[in-house]
Amino acid sequence: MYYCLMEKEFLEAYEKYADAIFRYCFFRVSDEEKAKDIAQDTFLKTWDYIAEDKNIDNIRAFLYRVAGNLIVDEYRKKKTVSIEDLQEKGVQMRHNTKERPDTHIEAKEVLEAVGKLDAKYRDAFLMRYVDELAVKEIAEILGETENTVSVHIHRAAQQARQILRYGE
Amino acid sequence: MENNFEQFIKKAKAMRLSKDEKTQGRELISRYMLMNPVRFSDQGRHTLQRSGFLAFITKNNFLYKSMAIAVVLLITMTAGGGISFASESALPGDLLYPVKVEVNENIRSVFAVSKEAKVEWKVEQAERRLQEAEKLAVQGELEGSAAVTVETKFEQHTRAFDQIIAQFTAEGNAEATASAHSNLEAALEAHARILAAIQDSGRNGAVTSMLAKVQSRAQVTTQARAEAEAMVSASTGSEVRVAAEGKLQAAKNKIAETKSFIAKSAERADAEAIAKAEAKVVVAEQAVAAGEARIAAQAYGEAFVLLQGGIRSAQEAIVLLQGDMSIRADLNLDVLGEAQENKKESDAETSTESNAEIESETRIEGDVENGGIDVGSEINFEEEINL
Repeated sequence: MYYCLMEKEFLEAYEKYADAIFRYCFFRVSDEEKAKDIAQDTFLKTWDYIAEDKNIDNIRAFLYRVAGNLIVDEYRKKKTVSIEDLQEKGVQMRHNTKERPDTHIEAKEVLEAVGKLDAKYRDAFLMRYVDELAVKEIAEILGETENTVSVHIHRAAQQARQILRYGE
Repeated sequence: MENNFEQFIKKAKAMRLSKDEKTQGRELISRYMLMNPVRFSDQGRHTLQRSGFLAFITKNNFLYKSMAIAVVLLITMTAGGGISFASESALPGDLLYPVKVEVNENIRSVFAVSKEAKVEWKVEQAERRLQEAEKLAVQGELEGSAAVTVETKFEQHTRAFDQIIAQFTAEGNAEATASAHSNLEAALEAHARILAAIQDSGRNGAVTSMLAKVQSRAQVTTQARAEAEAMVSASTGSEVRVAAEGKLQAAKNKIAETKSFIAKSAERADAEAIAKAEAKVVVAEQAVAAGEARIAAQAYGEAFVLLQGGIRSAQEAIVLLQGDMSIRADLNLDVLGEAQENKKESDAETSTESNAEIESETRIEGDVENGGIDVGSEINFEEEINL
């Protein structure tokens, strides 16, 4: 019964956070398919952790941390492909574009804007504005103080406004 | 401008998985959860074939195969996963074994998309076969077609491993090669110890040949790992720095995972096994400290090698502890009678060897609880851990 409950909770967490985790990955690896793989892997790895009967206080924050680690691994494997590189080549959007042509174009636009943000501030900003995490949670995930996180969010927001004004 | 900003946020928020993708993802996760239930709630091996009816079926090859196919079909149709879950503890010769290797493991393979994930999965599959061999051996059943099945499959997995490594080599990815070899090495070394312990306990069958296979493969792997590491060390520039720094994080994570696993196992494993595992963690921690120092000194290649060694130590601690617990569980479950016989022998061995080193009180408690059996063999392999 114990673990039935855990399973149920975990599936609920998937329902709630799968999109956000996917986005988080996507904005950082700039490849839709890869982002999906990493997002999926994030949930499996998190389950592995739960399956070892370990406690997770805040599943949402935990998922972000796992995803963050997997993304670092990905970069390490790939010997760093920057968003800029990808944009030069034209971002790989392999996914069913037939089904969602608008999303496809919009994703590219968004990705371009995100790519122009200072990497240092980007995560905090996206977590706050797009995923609507609390500053406290972001601080926990990124291992920064709340103050630093607030500053980063603010700076990235300024940058974003600038980019969106002159960039298009 | 504010409008643009809001538009941007809105578009970013619209980036999401499609409904199908989500359904698919949920499905995969459900299955994965069934296959990897929360540990320590496992009821042990499902010995279905012991009952008369099933024994008849398993002896009749044709019936057995048709039954297995029926079972597979049933699972595919119902997509329930109940049997799939039950089959996870099946051993070669069990009715559900084909489900385990043909259905469950094929589903798991779906998750392994990248080459790194694939190679990791091959290591895990090889380990699964070794665990099966160990369980069979402890029950005195590692013989005949079961032994052949396990050995053949083990070789298949290591061959597949080699093929992926060849791709890494072709890409000049020394780091991935080194990591993969290192993982396989940790698994093989630990399982070789477990098998050796089982062999020492006087269990025959194909243990010796399996052990020889694992040992020779371990040797090859160690050498290949060292070669790949030499290549990583020789490379300069930011790549090796990134690799070393990544390894540092990975090693720290691994140690944390190992510690937590040890803490969780404290109740089930005996004190001595825990102490040995903890000793391994200390070795791992020392390697990490040394690796960190090398990173500070900008000797990234050396750091990479040290850190990878740390990860291996930690991983071995986990595998050995798991082995210890699973052998213990099996002995309690299945071969108590036989075990009592062995007790005298192994006690004679252990009394001289282990008492000097280990607090004997815990030992005695352990003996009583477990009916004594393979405690001798456990001690043997645990003692080797220090080597």
